[in-house]
Amino acid sequence: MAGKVKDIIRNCKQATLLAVKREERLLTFPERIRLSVHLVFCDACKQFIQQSALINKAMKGFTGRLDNTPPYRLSEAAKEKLQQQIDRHN
Amino acid sequence: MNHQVNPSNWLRLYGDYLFSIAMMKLNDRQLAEDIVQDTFLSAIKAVDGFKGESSEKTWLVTILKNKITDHYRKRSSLKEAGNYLLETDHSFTASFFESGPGDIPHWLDNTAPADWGASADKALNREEFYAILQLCIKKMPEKLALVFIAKFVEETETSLICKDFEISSSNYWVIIHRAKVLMRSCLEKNWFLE
Repeated sequence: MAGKVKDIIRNCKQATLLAVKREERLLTFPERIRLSVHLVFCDACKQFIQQSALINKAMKGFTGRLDNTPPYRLSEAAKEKLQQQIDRHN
Repeated sequence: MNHQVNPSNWLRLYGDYLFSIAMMKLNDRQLAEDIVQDTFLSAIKAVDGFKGESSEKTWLVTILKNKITDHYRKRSSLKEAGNYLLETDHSFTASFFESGPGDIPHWLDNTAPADWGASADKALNREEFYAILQLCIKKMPEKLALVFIAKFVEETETSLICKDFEISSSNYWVIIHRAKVLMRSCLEKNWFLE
């Protein structure tokens, strides 16, 4: 058992996977225990959780901006061709 | 013709928007242009079926998304996500975590998430930050990026993502986890601790 707790405390890969899952789902009881025990000892994974939440917010901002400032733009040639196609089929 | 729909305006109103979604998922200008064209032409054909239950734009995005999913289905690059995850597990783990035999995967010294500072949120108001964010999406392996975009750009329901990509929910979590690990590392290097 002591060995197992040590593994939980050390396993950042598992803890961050659980943290990502927790953003969407209720964790099972053993999962909750594993994550909370890990976080008592691991500042890096606490940072990960904050950063993951920031990424979620950033993605909302990114998605909102896609409209006004699309990161990619059609070339003029492509636009001309597309408009012709639309007008022909409309 | 349905009075709510006006195809002659589509290119001006939605062209670059649809093209950007296509580019993020396909990373290929010619292919993205073709798929946008295909989307407009299919939409013109289906215009009578458009009931105005969603906006014209949402409707076009749905058609575009289906075209892109079909494209990946044909190329079968969505298949065997499970195998892909297994095959690449070692290299992913080794890049971020200690992973010697018998090792428990713990952050490496140089990959442990650093403190981004109390004002990290301010980045969200900077246009340049979103360019970095987009670069970080572009750098993700295709299979991860497709699922990440479906979830966080298109805001598709998880159950629907699993169905579209034919992945189990546990593989979905593995993909989102990897994408987040890569994304936070990329943002840290290129923005927060730059």
